[in-house]
Amino acid sequence: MKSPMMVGLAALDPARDLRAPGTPDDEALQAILGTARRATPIRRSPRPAVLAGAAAAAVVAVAGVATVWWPGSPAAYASWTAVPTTLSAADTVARAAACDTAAHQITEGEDGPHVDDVPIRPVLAEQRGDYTYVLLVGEGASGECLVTAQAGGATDVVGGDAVLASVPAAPGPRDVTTRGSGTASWSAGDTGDGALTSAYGRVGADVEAVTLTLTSGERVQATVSDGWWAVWAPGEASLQDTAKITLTDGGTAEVAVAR
Amino acid sequence: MDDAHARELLTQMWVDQHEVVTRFVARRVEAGLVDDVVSETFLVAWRRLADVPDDPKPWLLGVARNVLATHLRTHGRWRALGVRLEREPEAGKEGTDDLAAERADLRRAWEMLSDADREVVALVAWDGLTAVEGAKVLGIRPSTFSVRLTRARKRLLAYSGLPSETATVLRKLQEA
Repeated sequence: MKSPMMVGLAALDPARDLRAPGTPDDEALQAILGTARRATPIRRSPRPAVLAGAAAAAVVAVAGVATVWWPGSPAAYASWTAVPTTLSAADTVARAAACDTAAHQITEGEDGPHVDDVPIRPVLAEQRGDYTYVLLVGEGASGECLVTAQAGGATDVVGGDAVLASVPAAPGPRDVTTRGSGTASWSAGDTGDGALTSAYGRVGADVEAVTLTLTSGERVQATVSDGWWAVWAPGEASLQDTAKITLTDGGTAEVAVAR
Repeated sequence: MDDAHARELLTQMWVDQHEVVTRFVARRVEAGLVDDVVSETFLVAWRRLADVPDDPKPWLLGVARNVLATHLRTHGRWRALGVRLEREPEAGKEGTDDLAAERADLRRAWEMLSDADREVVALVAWDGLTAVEGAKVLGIRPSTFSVRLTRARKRLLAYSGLPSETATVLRKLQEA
């Protein structure tokens, strides 16, 4: 392996002269040993997978610290329910406290990528089992955030966000529009449950309910609140891309919700 | 695993592997982030002691690589997980002998490699890993690693043999 080329390369090693021996007294080690080995609330970021499609100008994970995948994660989203509990405005704000409050737009510049933050605020929150889903929107930007309750009152937060190149027009009173749909997958940490599929958008004033169907055939009720709708289900590509909407006058319609 | 045993294990791992992990990280990220990434890597090991194999080095480097990727993404550089090169010496510093000329060729060739090629070469040439260990870091099969390494070395060799004008043109083409 020690070809002349490899020897030459060794000379270009940027860490060639770096010495960093670890000792049992190192403060950084002591700090780690001082933390709990289990059940520490961590904030993880998803892989940038939400909102596939050309319209999503940039998709990037929210701030995260310990996105590390390792085999052997537990069964996913055991307590998920097809019918959500919609949370009140006050609860929405409270649950969203842990979510990122900005979407990030990345533009490639001459000297590397630049990141612009676009503020987003919570508009909808729903609960399915142990999982609270929060939709946040801003000027041409949106974010999704999943808060998982842990034992001992801790929470585990993951999220993703997108800045749209163009914002879809508002829906007519008897229609819905889709801002985003797709699979978000993130690395499974201590508590990560793996990929989920979500979709969300605006609803017209006369839309009372939005129902989607899992690829398995099961019906899933979306949350409709304050002019927005949102739904999520466990697994990759687990939602069909049509929805049944129910109108305030009792009428129904089938609409496409893919983006 | 009781706490005393766990502390002992992690401390031993820290003593044995801290320098290896630090150097691995320093090759891939700016100096200001190195300590954080190293600490987070060992923090993951602490939380997952039961998962750490008997030979912890490739495992730790694999974790460090994931932590790095997360940091870079967070800072809006999630496509830029590449291996850095020793900063180019100032003109004249490297001398004018044949060795210096070869090194300049090699540097130029390195800069023409893709990030994926650089990564496999760096794991062997700098991090000192075997193909089996390198494969563990990347989460791929050893045979796949060996194939990638062979191809990367061939390209490196081909690029470094090019006259400098041709290389410059090639690189511009690649960047276009």
